[in-house]
Amino acid sequence: MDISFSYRTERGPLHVLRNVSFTVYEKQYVSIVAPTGTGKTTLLRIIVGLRKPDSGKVLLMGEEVRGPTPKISMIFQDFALFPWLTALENVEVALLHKRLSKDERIKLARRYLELVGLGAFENYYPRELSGGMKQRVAIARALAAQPVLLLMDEPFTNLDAITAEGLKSEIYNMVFNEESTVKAIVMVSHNLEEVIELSDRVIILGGRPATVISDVSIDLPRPRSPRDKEFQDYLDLLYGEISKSMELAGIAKT
Amino acid sequence: MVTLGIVVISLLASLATMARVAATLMISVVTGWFLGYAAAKSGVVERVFLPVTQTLESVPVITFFPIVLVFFISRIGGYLGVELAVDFLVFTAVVWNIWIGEYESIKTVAQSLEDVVNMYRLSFISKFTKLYIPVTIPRVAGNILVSFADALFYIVVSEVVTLGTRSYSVFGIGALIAGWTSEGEWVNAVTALIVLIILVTVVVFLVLRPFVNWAVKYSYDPYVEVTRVGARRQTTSRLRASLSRNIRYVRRVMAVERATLPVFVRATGYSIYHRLAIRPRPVGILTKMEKHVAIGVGLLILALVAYGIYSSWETTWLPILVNIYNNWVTYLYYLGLDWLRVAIVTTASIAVAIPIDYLMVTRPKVEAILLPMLEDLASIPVSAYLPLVAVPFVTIIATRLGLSASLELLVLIVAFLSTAWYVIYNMYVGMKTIPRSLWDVANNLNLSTWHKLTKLAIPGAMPATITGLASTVGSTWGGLEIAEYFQGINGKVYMVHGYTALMDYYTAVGNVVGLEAMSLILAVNVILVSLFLWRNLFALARRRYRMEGAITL
Repeated sequence: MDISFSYRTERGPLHVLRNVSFTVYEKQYVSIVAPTGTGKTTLLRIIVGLRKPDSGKVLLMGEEVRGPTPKISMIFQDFALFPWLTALENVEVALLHKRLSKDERIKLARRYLELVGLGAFENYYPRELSGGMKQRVAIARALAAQPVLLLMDEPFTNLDAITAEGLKSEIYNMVFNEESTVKAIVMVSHNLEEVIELSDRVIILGGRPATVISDVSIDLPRPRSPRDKEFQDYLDLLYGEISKSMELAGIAKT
Repeated sequence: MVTLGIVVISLLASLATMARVAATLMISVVTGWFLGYAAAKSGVVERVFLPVTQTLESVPVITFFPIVLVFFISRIGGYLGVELAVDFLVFTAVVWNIWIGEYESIKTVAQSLEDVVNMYRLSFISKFTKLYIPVTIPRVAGNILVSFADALFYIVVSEVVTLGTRSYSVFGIGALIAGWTSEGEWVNAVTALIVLIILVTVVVFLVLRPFVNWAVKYSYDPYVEVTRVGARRQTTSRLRASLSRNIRYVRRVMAVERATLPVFVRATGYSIYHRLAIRPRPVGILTKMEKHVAIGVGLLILALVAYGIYSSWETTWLPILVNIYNNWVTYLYYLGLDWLRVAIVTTASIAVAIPIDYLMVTRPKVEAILLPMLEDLASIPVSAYLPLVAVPFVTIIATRLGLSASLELLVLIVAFLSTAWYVIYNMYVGMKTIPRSLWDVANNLNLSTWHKLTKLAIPGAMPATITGLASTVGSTWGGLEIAEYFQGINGKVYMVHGYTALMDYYTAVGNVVGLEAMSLILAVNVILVSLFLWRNLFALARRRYRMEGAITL
């Protein structure tokens, strides 16, 4: 893909992304890192087909993504659960577009809730669940759509540190599971430790409009610990790249 | 002697009236989903929808009723014509507020939720049932008390109307009470009123309150704290599920809710702050195509209006303008008089509301007694008991003060009764939703009651008071309309000098041209007030008095 994007504003177009291009391969966990306001979420919304880029296109296994498709599913920062639907009904939303009978739909939704460890909570409303549980429901919903590509928009930001830690250690196995159809993950984050802990590759965006500054492969065995020296080396490397991107943004402003 | 027959007929009449209220509220809510959606999604529709609804929201609809009635009776006629006229009037009294609320809810729906329904390619119907309808529910619930009370007020008063020499009425509690009063059947009238009051109480406590409570689950706040921890035993039957739900409900009402915000307050507070805090602006940018469509639609409407005026110039518009030219001094003088009355009544309501609300907010015992009474009282329409209230004013008090002073007093009291509950209620919601921490600071700094009032309670209640004012003034006009001109005992008519009194008089004598002229002036007046007063007041409330994080539903 090779994406450019701008917002229409009252002061004319605001260019957000310029020729952003990268490829994600099978079984890869790719993270996109950038300072706040760079357009990371916009990029994800373009990839999932919710927004159209000004120029360029998103290709999924050689086919252009022209609009929302069940093959790409997204998990949101604020979980995006419908407060008026139970956990199970929230998962069912991802299955509505398929022509399944109600029983089949419930059975499938239940299976994914069990996969994320919430089998006993299917009749709970989101407000009755903790933050971590809400995010699990969101993950179950995303997986239930049986996507090939899973997008995650800062999925751990709104969780407390302990819950986030627990979920991070599980997410890899939840998603790359034999019951799951997911072939690759793209996550947006600004937490560098989390990115190194989880990803196979890190793509750094920077500048204004933003473009790909750097593409770093993380070659560490799992599970990864922030206390390892190599982990710290990667952290230093990423910090270096990020400050470069910040400088670029500064230059663009002046 | 009260017979069973009187009670039964009163009950049937009350139910007929309630059915009208329910039907108009339903129609408003359902049409609002589609219109609100259209306005939220299309810049063109939005540009028409917003100014129209915002202006009409503060229109004292009742003053236009005679025109509506003439239209429906001349075009449709018969009982059906009157019935439709009554329903239409009530519809126009409640619909704007509901429509605006629904539009704003849809417009400000969380982006991520909208993304989800698009991502999973939900059908149009699924999108509505899973997302766009549910998001409107908290706002509808927040307005339900006022909408219900408004609808009841207008329906009761419009059930009997005299046009020229003919009197039109539909079966309902308003018509029943007015009829019995004018015949001097006091016991019957009082019985009917009591039946109505009981029914209103039942509806408020058994229908509206549970509705608001239920609506709470429709508010989107992804970061609310978990309310219950631990796994619940799987409920196996529907019966048990509903049983446990009810027990939970009762437990919540008994224990927790007393410590937190009452449901109505929460819902109304949510409405007010939703309105102030995330009031959506019209789409700033239109595409070229949309601009062309908008201009085209605008030109078409203008052309239609111009043609309408041109084609009926000789028969309608010219006589109206001549009438205005001949009588403008009288009309403006009366309009001024009525605005003066509105100002007096509003000021008095605020003056009464401040101490009552402060007491309620600071003394839980006072609150526990007054609040349910207030919620109920607000819903009992003054229009139903006016005929009874009026009796001493045209008899005993009139002999003491003189008839005109006595009638003036009655007008002010009735207008006050139509207004005060709303002002008290809105201010209370405002004070109640001031963050706890600010009260703690005030107590911690040992502020005197006076300082707590002037530095915290009154400014804190401003947003709620101001947003409520547009509709409370509408109610004041409604109060003026019914009290400035009314039929008392034995069909005798009493009136004071006032704009709505003159309109009522014109209606009664069948002076349609005069009526249309006065409606036109009133329409212009309403638009000017909306442009110069309400918009500025709303902006002030938003700019100056909004408190961040004051309310979470």
